Amino acid sequence: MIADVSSYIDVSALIKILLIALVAGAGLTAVFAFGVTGLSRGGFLPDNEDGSTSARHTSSLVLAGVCFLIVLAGIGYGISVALTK
Amino acid sequence: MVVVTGLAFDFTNGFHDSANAVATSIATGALKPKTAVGMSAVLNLVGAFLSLSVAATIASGIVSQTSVTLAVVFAGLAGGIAWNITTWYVGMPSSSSHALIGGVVGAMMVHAGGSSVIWSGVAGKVFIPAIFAPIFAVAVAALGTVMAYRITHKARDGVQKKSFRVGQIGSAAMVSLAHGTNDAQKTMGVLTLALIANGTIAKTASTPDWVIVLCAISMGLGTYIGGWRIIRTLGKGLIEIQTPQGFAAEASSAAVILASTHFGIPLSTTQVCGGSVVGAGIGRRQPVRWGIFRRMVFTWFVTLPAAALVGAGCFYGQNAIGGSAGVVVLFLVLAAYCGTIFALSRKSAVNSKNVNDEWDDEASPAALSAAAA
Repeated sequence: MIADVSSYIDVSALIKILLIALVAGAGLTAVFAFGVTGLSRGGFLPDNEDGSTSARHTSSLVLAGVCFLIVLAGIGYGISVALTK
Repeated sequence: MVVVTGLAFDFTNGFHDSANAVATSIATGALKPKTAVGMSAVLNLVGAFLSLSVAATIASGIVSQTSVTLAVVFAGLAGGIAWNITTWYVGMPSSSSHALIGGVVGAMMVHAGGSSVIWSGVAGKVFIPAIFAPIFAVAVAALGTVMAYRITHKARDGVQKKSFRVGQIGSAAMVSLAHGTNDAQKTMGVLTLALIANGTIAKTASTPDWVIVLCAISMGLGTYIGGWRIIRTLGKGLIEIQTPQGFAAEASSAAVILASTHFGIPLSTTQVCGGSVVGAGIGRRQPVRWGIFRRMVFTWFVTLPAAALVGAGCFYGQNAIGGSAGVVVLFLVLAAYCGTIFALSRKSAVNSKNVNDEWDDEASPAALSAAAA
């Protein structure tokens, strides 16, 4: 009984699932967070809660845009891979 | 009648699973409750059309196809519904997939004995994923949350909040889509099994389109009408959630579910989403209401055997009466049971208006379950 437990469990698939989930789930969240930081630095939504305004930095905004594009691309790639078997 | 019962099951599935997908978006205010539920319904439909590998697993890997009869499927569905609606009443997000599989397995054992159940299939496709999925989800969500806060800690509050709020719309959409590709297909698998048993379609046939559409629609309706109890427990009960956490939790759920779909492994969206929310709480080192989580995990463990018992009981009773009369009686009993629960639920109704109210341990449906147990 114990000997054939391993035949029930697809260990390699489980490990792959964990790795993919870490990269896609946590990794893309991190990239998104970098994008948010970029927006903040770049002066997106310049009116702050304390009444001050932030200056515009185009380079940070571009960087943020790149981050968000990476996230979108990752999602698109993820869906297409997940669904082709 | 089996098809109607199958759809009824999907309706209760909507109470549980599709609700999970949007729970955190609603709790953080990223989406209006009704918008969120509507979006979830549509994307579930899309997801269900995109991939059917999980439906195939259920239809072929759990019980022996040659000995399945309509009565077995019917009793199994009845068992699944009864369990689903009970856990819904107490606000516990339990796995409708396990309820369904449990019900069918239980009915099958009474009908044709233990040998007709493919135990290796049940272990490999149900038990093992059930243990690993929530653990994976906790880990991924915790890591994602830590990074989300670390990386954005210098960002201005307004920007941080707004961006993650917009991001959450996307991540909630992903979870709904992922749910459609995985969990939503379980009923479709079982209905396919029923149609095969009835001889309506050939043994090798795939799930017909009309089954997919009807299943998705009834699931969406279920979420819209009754998902609020579960949404409340997940969105407000476990932790006080903020938008970056909601985003990280949903990203984690979507990633775990989609990755498993890719390998044709059916897992419970419910358990993944619950795990993700807890992970998001751990990632921010904030207090998690462990009592509620413990109750949730306990529910996860008993779901399969409990639904199996109910499924077996249903089949036994149905058989004792015999023939179509047995089916009709079971149908009526089930309807009466659901009606009673609905009537009871009115007393502590949760809807789109009060779903986000402050969490109060005493008054919540989830707390009632502890008192009852």
